[in-house]
Amino acid sequence: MSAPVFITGLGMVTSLGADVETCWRCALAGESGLAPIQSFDAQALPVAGAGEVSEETLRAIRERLPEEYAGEGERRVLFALDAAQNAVADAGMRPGDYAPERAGVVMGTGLSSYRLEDFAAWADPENGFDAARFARELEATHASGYFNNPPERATSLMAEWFELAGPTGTITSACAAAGQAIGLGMRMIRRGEADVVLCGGADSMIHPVGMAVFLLLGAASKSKDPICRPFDRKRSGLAVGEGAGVVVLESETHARARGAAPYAALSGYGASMDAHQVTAPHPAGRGAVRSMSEAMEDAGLGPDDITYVNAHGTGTKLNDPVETGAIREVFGARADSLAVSSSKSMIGHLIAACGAPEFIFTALSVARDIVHPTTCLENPDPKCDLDYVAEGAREMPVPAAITNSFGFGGQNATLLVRKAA
Amino acid sequence: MNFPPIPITGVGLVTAAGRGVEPAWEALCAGRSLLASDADPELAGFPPIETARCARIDPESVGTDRRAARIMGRHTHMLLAAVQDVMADAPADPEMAEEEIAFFAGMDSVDPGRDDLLGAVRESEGRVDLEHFFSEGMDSIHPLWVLGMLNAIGFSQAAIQHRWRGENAVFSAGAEATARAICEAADSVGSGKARLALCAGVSGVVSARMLARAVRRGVWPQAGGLGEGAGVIRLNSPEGADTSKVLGWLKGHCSVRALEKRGGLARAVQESARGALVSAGLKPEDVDLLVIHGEGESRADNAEAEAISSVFGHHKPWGLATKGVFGHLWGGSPALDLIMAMKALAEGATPPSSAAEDELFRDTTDGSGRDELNNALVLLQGFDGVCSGLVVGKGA
Repeated sequence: MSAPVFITGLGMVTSLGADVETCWRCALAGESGLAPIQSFDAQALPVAGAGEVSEETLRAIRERLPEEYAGEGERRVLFALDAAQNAVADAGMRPGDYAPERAGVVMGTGLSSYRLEDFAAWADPENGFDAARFARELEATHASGYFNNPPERATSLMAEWFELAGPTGTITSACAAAGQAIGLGMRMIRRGEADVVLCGGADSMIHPVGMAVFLLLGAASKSKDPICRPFDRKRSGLAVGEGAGVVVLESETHARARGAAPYAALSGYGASMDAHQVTAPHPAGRGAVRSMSEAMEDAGLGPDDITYVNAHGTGTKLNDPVETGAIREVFGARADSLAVSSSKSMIGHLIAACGAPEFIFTALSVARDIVHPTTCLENPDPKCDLDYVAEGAREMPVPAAITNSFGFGGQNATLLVRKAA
Repeated sequence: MNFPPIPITGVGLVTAAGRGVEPAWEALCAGRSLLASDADPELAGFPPIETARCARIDPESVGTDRRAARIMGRHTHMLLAAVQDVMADAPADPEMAEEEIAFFAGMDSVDPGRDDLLGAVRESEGRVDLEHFFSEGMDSIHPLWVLGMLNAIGFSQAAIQHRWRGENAVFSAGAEATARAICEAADSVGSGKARLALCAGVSGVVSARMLARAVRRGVWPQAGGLGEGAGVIRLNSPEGADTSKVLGWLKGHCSVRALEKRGGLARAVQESARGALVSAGLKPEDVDLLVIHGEGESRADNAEAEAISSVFGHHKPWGLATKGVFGHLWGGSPALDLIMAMKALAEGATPPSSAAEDELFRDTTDGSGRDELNNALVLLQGFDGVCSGLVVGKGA
């Protein structure tokens, strides 16, 4: 068992809101952030909606960011920066509270996506793509697209803004990215590389190519209503969400020295690979079992110590029964007394970022002894037979909890949060 | 970051020189640049570029079937080839649990096939016709096309092929990503979380889209020639390794981000070099070989020279630079430089290179420098001023 790392600041942006308390209050109330898409003309899109951050919220984010960052082209970068400034403020961090070389940043994200405009504008019906003209007109490429937004953009801007000169990383391990980023942040502190690490994830795939991605893979729900039904017999796939979550992690010594009050302690991290198929999880949840077991071992805790699981819970046919089976294998007889819920039922799947807001919800559950529900679960699936907190938020003792993030391609991450001593 | 000396028990390398360490080493010793003017018509609209591209690798030769090949770019083929070589060289202990094998990689951005999307999109009155795209165009895209957008998919392919089920992560992009991957792999075996760890560095594939990103990022054409390649390094748990087969010892790592308020790039290079030496328990005079980043861009090179002068003072190690021969491999560079450093330590020889002409290094202008070389420091500069130092010691 290694030393715990304190969680001293939280910041998030989701379709439920752009601050932690609003998101948390809505999640406890079972309010859905899923709604018809507004940011582009989605009338012909065979998807009813997504967990989209409203234009009004985006405008407010731009207004409260410093001028040099407010003009960033990519939504996920804006979300990350806003979540970061909120997390730093929430932690009560001021300039001089940390040595820059002892402060790091790790973010989980995607590589960015092409925009249709980046192809349409240079498509040549006779000869395919007009590469020569494209090369001359790069400034016309989409401001939010792949050509203008490298994956480490948010990481670098956070480092610059908050003077984080210590260890750094940008993780692109698909949907496990943010979970791994937070796990790595914890390790950087544990092994003495840093005293403070800002970590989390940011992503936005709610644009035509992004939505096409999940439709082509058969993962997106085509339900006529903008809903996501994790663990339900009638679940039809994931709802795409967007946003960011950033947390301030600190060594216990550093947090205590500056009088910071931690929400909870991050005590365990497990990562694994399914090594099964690129397009499907291991049918027995081998990697999921491993990541959960590793996180508990890392924290020096066992199944009896955990009362809540914030599940990956995507609402896809494949994930939910496999995750349920993996939880059963890890927790044995204790599985029936666990509360298990899916944040994605309300905020959608934030793809590479999903692990960050879900980690924040998990930390709040531990800090406040209450867990949010899984919404839209109306038709029990015999293959998904755990207690998914379908009836509404539940007050209960949460001395320790885990949160899962399982990535497309088979990368898995589990984080374990416990009460700070 | 501190970890015990970690035995390096295998390497795999794919560069423009071919597959394996020897062809790359020979090119380096001969001072034979593999960079050549790139006549690809797709690049014609860009400023003239020299590239050192890798030869095509047959996907089936690296263990992929046709279906899997559909979702792979050449970056995946390079990775799988390097992985195949490192595992052929030293297979995993069959007694080792698959969960005890960790895998980390630093990978650059990747591009899925363009034709799928091109066929699916059309403009109407100067705007993308979304109705056409969603109702008809999208159907012409191969369902697995999207997997080509993720560098983590190539990584997963390697793990699937070799049944690596331990801890893992994919870092992006550039040299800092691979330096971090190497450091996490070292931590994984050093702390006992894995018995074997593979770490890979993979470049992007030269294309119009890659150059477009580089131009928009502001790192090209300033940085000169671009190379392609992948390197994989195999690390064993210090307890389990047969020391007679150790190719080198990974001893230290440090990364520091340059911030203008803290003295910028030169200070970051300096601190990363000093930090790496401290983590390895070495002093500057213990360094026999310095593998410089040397990307050919004046600001980066000046900062590096200033930092070297400050860290090493009057001590002059041998110098080695790879980019004049292989171009800049970005995410592939740390793996290439570390592997070349190990080869130089093993050979007790430093190839003549542009680095040797600098007053900061020992003079090898009369040919390869030969000496007893025990420790090398590899300096790296990633995107946005992230600087890293890696220390490697001589193997058996």
